[in-house]
Amino acid sequence: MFNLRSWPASASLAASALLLTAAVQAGELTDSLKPGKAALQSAGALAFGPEGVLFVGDSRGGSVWALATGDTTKASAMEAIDIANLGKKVADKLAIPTADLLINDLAVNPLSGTAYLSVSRGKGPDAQPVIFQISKGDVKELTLDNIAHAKADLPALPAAAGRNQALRNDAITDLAFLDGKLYVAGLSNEDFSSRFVTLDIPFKPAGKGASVEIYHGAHGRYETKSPIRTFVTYRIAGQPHLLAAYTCTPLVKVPVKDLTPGAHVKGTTVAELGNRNRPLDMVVYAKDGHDYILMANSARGVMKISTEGVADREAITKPVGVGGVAGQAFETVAGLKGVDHLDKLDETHAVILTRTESGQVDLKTIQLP
Amino acid sequence: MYTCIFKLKLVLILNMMFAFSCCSAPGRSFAGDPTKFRLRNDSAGLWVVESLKLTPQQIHLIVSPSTQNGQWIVQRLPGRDESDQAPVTVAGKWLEESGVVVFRPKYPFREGMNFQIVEKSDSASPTVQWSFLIPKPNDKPPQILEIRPVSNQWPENLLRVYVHFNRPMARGESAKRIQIQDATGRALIQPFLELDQELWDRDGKRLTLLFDPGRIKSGLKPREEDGAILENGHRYTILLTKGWPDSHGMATEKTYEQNINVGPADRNPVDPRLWKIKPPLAQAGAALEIQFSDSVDTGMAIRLISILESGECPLDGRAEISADGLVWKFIPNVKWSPGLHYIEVDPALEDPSGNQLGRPFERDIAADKESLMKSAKPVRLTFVVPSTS
Repeated sequence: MFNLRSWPASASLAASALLLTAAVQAGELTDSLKPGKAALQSAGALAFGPEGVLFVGDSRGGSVWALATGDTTKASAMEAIDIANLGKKVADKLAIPTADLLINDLAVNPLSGTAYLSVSRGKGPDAQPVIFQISKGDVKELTLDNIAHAKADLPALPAAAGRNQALRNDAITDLAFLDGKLYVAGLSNEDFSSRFVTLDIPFKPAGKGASVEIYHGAHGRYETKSPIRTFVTYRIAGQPHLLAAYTCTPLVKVPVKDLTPGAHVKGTTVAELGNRNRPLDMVVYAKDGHDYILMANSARGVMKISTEGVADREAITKPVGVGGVAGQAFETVAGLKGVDHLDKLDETHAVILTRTESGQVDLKTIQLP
Repeated sequence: MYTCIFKLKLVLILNMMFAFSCCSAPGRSFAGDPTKFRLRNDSAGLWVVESLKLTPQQIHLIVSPSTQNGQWIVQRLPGRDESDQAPVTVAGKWLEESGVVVFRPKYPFREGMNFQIVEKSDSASPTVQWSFLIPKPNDKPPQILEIRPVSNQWPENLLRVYVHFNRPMARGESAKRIQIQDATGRALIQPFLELDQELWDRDGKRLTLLFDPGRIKSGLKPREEDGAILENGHRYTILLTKGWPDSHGMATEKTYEQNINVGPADRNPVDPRLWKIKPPLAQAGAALEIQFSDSVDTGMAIRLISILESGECPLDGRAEISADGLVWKFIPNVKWSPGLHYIEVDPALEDPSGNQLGRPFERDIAADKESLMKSAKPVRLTFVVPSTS
C-alpha cells in the first residue's frame, strides 16, 4: 500500500493551476467576496476555484456559495492524508453519534493539499451544515461566522404566483469550475429532469440553466430525460467539455459552448459502463502521457477510464446487449472498495473517502492508478 | 467488547462519585447538590445548562478559567448502541448572563441523549458534577400517512411515488427501509433509483421515490436483465419497514404496507383539452374546480397551474388537489370578478408516469422530432365567472 508521507508537486500541476486561473484575474475573485456570516442552509457538493475559494452547493437554500477559505499558501510538496475512522472524529467534534452524521462531499484545495468535507449534523431538515478542513493529522471546522463570501441563487423554477413551494426542492448533485465559470448540476424532487446552470465567477445573476438531453446507448432509439449524477470538466481538442455520468452508467460528453441559458443540448454518449450501478464521483488525471478518468461507483468499484479517441467517438445510440459495455476502454481498479468520494491531491495521488461494511468512514491517500 | 464494558463501568463509577465524593476545587463544586444546576429552554428554543447560586468570584473562575484545574467540561455520554463508550467533549462556552453561569453549546444538544458536567483537576480524576438528559420533542413514534398514488391500481410504467410522513424524518434510510414484494413474497431487485441525495421536500415530510427509468421503458438493457419492475395484471405489496427514524431519532413502530394491482402502461401525454372545468360563482371563498381526465402529479399540479384574470394578471390564492390527483381546486385571496379568466398550465406538468403536456415520458425520437417544440409553451384554457346578479 502506498505509504509516502510527502512528495514534490509536479510541474504539470503548476501548469494546470495556471490554466485554471486564466479566466479570472488574480485577486478578482477574492476581492469580490465580502466578510460576514455565511448562512448556509445546507452544505453539499464541493468544488475548488482559484485563490483557495471553495464553492459549496446549498440545495436547501437553492444557492451556491463562494467561500474564501484563506487556505492560499501553495504547498511545495503535498502531504498524504490518512485518517482512520474520520467519521467518528468528525461526529465527536459535533457532539453527535456517527449515526447522526451525513458526509456529503469531499474536495481537495489544489493550492495547499488540504481536504475539505461538507457534512450535515443531523439527518432531518433542521440539520446544521458544517465544513471541515482536514490536513495531516488535523481535523478542524471552517468557521462560517465571519468569512469572506458571496452567494448566487439558482434561478427559480416556474411556479404560479403566491403558491406555497415548500414541497419543491432541488438537489445539487455536482459542481465543477473551469475557466471562470462554475457548472452546477441539479435534480428536482418533482420534475424528473437534469438541470444544468452555468454561473459566471465572480457571481453575476444566474441564467435559466441549460436542460441537457441525452440518449442512453443502452436505451436504443428512445430519448429520455435523466439526471446527471457526477461530472468533470475536460478539454477535448482544446475545447472545454463536460464529461457527465448518469445512472446505469453512460458517460456523456457535452461541449461547454452549447450550454447556453434555456438551450436543450444533446450530449454524446461515449461509453456504456454497465448497469445496476450508480456513479458517485470522478476526477481526470494524466499518466504516462495519457489522460484518464477515475470514477467511483456504487456497485462496480472504481474504474479507470481511458479518454483515448474520445474526440472522435461516435455516439452510442444502439443497445449494447445484456450485461454489455461499449465505447471508451476501462478497467476496474483492484483493491479499491467502498469508495464514496474522491478528489485529486496532485498529479499522481488522490484522496479517497471509503466506507467499510460496518459503516466506518476512513480517509486515505492513494497513488493514481 | 471488554473495553466498552470497562468504559461503561468507568462512566457509572464517575456518576456515583458525583453523588458521594467531594470536589477538587473547594467552595465551588456542587457534587452532591444537583439542585444547583438547571436545564432551560432559551428564548430561541435551544437547551442551555445553567449553574445557580454562585458568587461573583466563582462565576469569574468558571467563565474565565486560568488553568485546566477546576475547569468545567460538558460531555456527551454515548448511547448503548455506540461502539465507543468514552464520553465526548461538547464544544461550547460558559458565559455569565444576568448573574447566572450558562453553558451554550456550539451546536444544539441532541435530543434524547445523556450529558454530564465534569470538573477537571490537576491532582485527581475529573469529578462529575451533574448529569442530564435532553428530552425528545415527541413521545410518540412518527407515522407514515400515505403513499401516493393512493389508488391501489398503478400503471405498470409508474415513474414517481410520494411517501408522506406526519413529521420531519431522517435522510439516508430509504434504500434499506422500502421494499416491493411480488405476489409470492419475493422482493424486487432495486426497484427505485438510488440517489446520493434523497429527494425530500423542504419540511422533510414528503419523500419522492423514482422508479428506475431504465426498467420502465421498452427494450432497455436494465429491463431485459432485471425485468420490468411492475407488470400489468400482477399484484404487489409495497412495504416501508418499521424503525425509520424521524429527525430526532424516534423511529416508526409499525411496518406500513400497501397492496397494489398493476394495470396497463399509461403513455398518454397530459391533455388539458380533456379536463372538465367547473367555474366558481363570483363570491368570496368560491372555488374553481378542475376535474382531470387522468391523475396528474399531486406535487406539480399545485405549483404549475396558474389562474389569470382577463387582464392577464395572475391571481394569488390557495390551490389544493385531491390525494388521487383527479380534482384540483383554487380559491383566490380576493373575491372572483365576473368575466373571462384563464387557466395557464406550465408544459412541465406531468402525470405520475412522467408524461408531460403533449409529450409522453417515453418518446420515439425517430417518429416524433417535433414534440419537444410543441410542448415548450404553456397551454391556456378559459372559463367565465358568471355574474351573481
